[in-house]
Amino acid sequence: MRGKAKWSVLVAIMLVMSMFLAACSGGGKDDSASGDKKSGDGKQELADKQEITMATSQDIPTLDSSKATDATSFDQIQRIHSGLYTYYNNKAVPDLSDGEPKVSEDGKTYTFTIRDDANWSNGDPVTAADFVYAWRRLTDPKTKSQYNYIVPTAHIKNADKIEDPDSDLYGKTDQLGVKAIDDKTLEVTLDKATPYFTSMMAFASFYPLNQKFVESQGKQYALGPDHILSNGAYKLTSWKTGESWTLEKNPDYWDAKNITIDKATINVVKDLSTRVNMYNTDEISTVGLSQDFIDEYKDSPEYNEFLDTSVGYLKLNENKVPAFKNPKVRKAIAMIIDEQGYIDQIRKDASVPAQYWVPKDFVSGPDGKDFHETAPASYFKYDPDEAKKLWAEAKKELGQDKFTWEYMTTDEPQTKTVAEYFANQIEQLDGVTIKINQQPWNNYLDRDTKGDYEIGGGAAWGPDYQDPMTFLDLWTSTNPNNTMGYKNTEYDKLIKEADNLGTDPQKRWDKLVQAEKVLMDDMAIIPQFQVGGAQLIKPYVKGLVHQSMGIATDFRHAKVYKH
Amino acid sequence: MSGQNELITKDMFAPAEIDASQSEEIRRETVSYWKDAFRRLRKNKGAIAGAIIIFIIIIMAIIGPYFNKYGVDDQDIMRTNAPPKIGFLSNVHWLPFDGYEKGRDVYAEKKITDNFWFGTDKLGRDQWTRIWLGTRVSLFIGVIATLADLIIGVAYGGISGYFGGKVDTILQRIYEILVGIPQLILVILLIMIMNPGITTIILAIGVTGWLGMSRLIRGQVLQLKSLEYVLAAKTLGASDSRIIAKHMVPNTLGLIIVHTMFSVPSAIFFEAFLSFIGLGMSPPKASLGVLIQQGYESIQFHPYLALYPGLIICLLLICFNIFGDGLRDALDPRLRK
Amino acid sequence: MVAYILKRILYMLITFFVIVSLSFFAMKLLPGSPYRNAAKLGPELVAQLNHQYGFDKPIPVQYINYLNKVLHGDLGVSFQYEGRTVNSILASKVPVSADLGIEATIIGVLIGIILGAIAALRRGTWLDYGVMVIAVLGISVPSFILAQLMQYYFGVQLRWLPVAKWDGIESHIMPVIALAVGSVAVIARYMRNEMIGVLGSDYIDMARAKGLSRPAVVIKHAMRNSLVPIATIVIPSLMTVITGSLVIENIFAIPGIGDQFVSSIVTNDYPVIMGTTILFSIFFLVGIFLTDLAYGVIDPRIRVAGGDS
Repeated sequence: MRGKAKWSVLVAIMLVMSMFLAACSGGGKDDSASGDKKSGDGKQELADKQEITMATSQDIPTLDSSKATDATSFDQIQRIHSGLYTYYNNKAVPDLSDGEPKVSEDGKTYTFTIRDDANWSNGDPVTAADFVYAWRRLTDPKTKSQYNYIVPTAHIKNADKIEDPDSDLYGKTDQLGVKAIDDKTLEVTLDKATPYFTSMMAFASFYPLNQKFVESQGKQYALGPDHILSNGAYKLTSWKTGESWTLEKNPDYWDAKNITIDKATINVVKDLSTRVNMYNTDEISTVGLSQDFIDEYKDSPEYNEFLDTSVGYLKLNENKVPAFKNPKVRKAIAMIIDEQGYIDQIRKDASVPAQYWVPKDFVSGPDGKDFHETAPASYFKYDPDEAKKLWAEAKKELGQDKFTWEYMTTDEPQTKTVAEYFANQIEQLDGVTIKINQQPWNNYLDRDTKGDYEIGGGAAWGPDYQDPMTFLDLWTSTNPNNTMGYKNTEYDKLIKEADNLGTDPQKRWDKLVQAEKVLMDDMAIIPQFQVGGAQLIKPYVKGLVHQSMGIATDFRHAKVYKH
Repeated sequence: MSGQNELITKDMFAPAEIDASQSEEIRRETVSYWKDAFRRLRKNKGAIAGAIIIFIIIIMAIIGPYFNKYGVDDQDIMRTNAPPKIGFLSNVHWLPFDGYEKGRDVYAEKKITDNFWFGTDKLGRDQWTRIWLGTRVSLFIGVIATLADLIIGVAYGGISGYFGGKVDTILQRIYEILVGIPQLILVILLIMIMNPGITTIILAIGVTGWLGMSRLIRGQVLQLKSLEYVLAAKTLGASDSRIIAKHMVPNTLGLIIVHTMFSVPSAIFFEAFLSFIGLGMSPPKASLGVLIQQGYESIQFHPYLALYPGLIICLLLICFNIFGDGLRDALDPRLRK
Repeated sequence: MVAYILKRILYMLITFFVIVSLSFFAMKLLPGSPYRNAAKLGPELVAQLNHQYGFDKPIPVQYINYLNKVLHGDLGVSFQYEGRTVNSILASKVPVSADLGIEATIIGVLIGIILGAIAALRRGTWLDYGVMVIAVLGISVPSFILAQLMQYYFGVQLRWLPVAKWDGIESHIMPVIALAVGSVAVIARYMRNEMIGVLGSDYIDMARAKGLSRPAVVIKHAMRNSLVPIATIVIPSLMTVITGSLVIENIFAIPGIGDQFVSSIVTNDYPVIMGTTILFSIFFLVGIFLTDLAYGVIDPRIRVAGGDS
């Protein structure tokens, strides 16, 4: 619709990346969190040392909130920094914002009041000017932020022009629709009403920065504990690059009284079996699992599962393979693949077959109901007989009997198994031969962008903000992510209408539901599964929560009991 | 014996033909070197046994995959990760062929009726078929690596070391450049321009596989060149080709054989690495290296997945070694009695 | 000799320049961009960033600019680790890998030489076969399998050693062993091969005939003369161990350069790729040069100096 990549909040992550997300994430369905407010109900007493250790597969790429792009960085930034909002239990709630903002009638002006007790770790108060500075810095082309398209995504006034080299306003960050009315009052002007705007304020790129400090650090900013300020729940106290980093409780955080964990150490450990071994020797408090490890530990009381919000899918390139233009071919492929079997027998975690495109348990509508309570929970089913029937008809229509398709995927070991399984499934269609082509991630992306593939199967999509639009606008005919030649004017129209209905959330919601139906009836892409995860948590650690939005492994309200 | 003293007359003698040039030539009987070598090799029982086992593995790589009805990509997720089970051994529980894993009868639990001699992988494919097909690929790669070593590596190192001077200077700089440029970059560039498969593997091994050998041979030749008997041969007017054939080659054979033994497994694992980044055999085809790598991922839970392909590689290498040692002992001129 | 060394240094500089240049151009041919967020950036945003970073200029221009910077000691800033200079990345990671690699090589070479010599001296006995079995296992069992098994038994089951991390001498034991086993195998095999040859030589008989004691003969003549191939392979194998130990580094969570280098190539982190290549090729060229010099020390008859001309 808007035809620009800035708009596409597309997260293409390798499946293994989702494994990694699982690996560095903590407790899922935690039933004890609420009951633990009082320390110990006779049985359990809080341990003297409120310390937890974890392991992640990657060092922090950056702690500079204007430049961060990945899950590891965002997790750490959200632990160190606070913004107007934050995610608790997958819901955006005010953090530094003193209550909900005032919103103008037309939905275009938001006025936030910043908490009086919000302070930086050097004693400076957090002011409205800190937000203005951070947002301008993010938008400024000179910052070379790779996430600056999130500002126009939030529809903040003039953001798209400031980032567009062909516009008069290019680089003129003082034209951005954000203003400090006084020290504690922030006014934001939008181009159009945006129902999900407040939830975007929980996104780390929108967190404030202390201008004086950032500028005094220059190129050293955020490269170590002495080069970054904290205004959040934790302070960075050490960072041995490539090895580990340590966070300690920030006593000046406004909500510090509700933070129990005093110290968290996070180790960089790339190998999954090493992480599990470290868990078994009590060196870390939680560990993510996959495949065989799930088999081994699924009966343990320490085992937890969770469902995330990214969706794995297949792209069928109609430009390269004319047969894919036939909807019967696309449907036959979708219905011949046994996703449940894959999840049960190979993947083994809490993933579910995705018979839809917008994930479930992701976002609720204006009526408070989950998207898939309004929209159908399933648009298609695994049905080999029906698939073969469709396939026979399609072959007649195409007048061709033998097909050889190339299935492009990435070179990670997990994606290889996935590719082998799905290729084998598709080959059950009579006369189809699938050739698997594994490519390093950069090659894969390059070929995906250029449309140089037949079946693209190496990616999953995850949301950036809590709204179905983050999934649905990817497949409009002008979106750069739509490299497979799908075009349906009705779909384009629905998305465009929904985008302009910011002031009428219910009507907008209905359009989005309709749009997904069009997409799925066309089988424009083939959703495979909604990514889930599994992990072990030590029984003496309670309240460690896995979130699909916000900090993935959230230990802000966790407690360690005597053991 | 008896005192019959025959008269020795002058005419019983004929003058020997004395060619001045030939008297200077010091050489053994030409045929006897190889004949002698073969005789000694045949006497070495270990070497012969090694050769026989290698032969059996080659035969199995050819016919093994047809021993049962499963193909290389016959998946069935209802029979994943079944441990090895061989019908007549299934009651012998101390052998790892009873279909039990951690004390549980996996075959009964998953209701698998067929027996899988080497078990099944995580997609339910028959490991027996995949292992022997993989052996085929890995043997082929071993041959390629050996050829690259012998044809390119030995010649390159030999020429560099023997001729020395400018030739050595230039060849060694080329060697340094080839080693200096990160291999992974070259390999990724190869992926871009070529399709995965045998040709790409041959090319990748051909570009870099022989570097180690060439360096070793050069070192050895440099040493040999300065030995007295080579100098002597040279002084006596022996041609370069003669010195190379008669002195250099036999004296470096041991080294060549030993090094080949290392380049074969490293080529096998190099192929596994290539497969890993999408340049080797494209899945579902697999080589022993790839099978081991996949088995490694679940070695704590299903050790048989890595064990059997690993055993075949070990067996191949041990036999190759014993045979190679026998060959070396047979061919090394210094060991001739 | 001085002239030879000077000549070699000149050659080294030329070779170095060629390696750096070829690597630069090869690297620029890699598909994709160095941006971490490339998956989410559309072609337009990538073009904008390319402009910001100067990647839209012709490659020869970029090359000259790069060389100019390198000559001033500036290797650039990483894309993977935003804001970190390549110098600081190399400074923090190379010493760890070098530490690991050197420890493993020293242990591997020492044990390898001893085992190889024993096997040669006791040729045809169970000792000999034992050494050979170790050698075969050492090269055919991949180090990652050995590493994982050791980690499981010594780290988790017996709890004798820390499971992972590079922290204190006891944490070095398993990774060093895992890496050294391969070297032991290789060195032992070459050593045995050479020793057998040398022991069969006339001058050994001669030395014995002169009345030298057996240990003296073995050490002074046999072992010394067997070292040429060892010297040839030690430097490259040290390099492989330092650059190629990424699997071991990953398994034991060691913050070394192996994994960093591979991931920089896979992510097109141009400054890190070039910085690492530059550093490694310097190590490597110096290593080869030293090996050539070492030939002369080990065996005084060898003259690499190219006396022919």
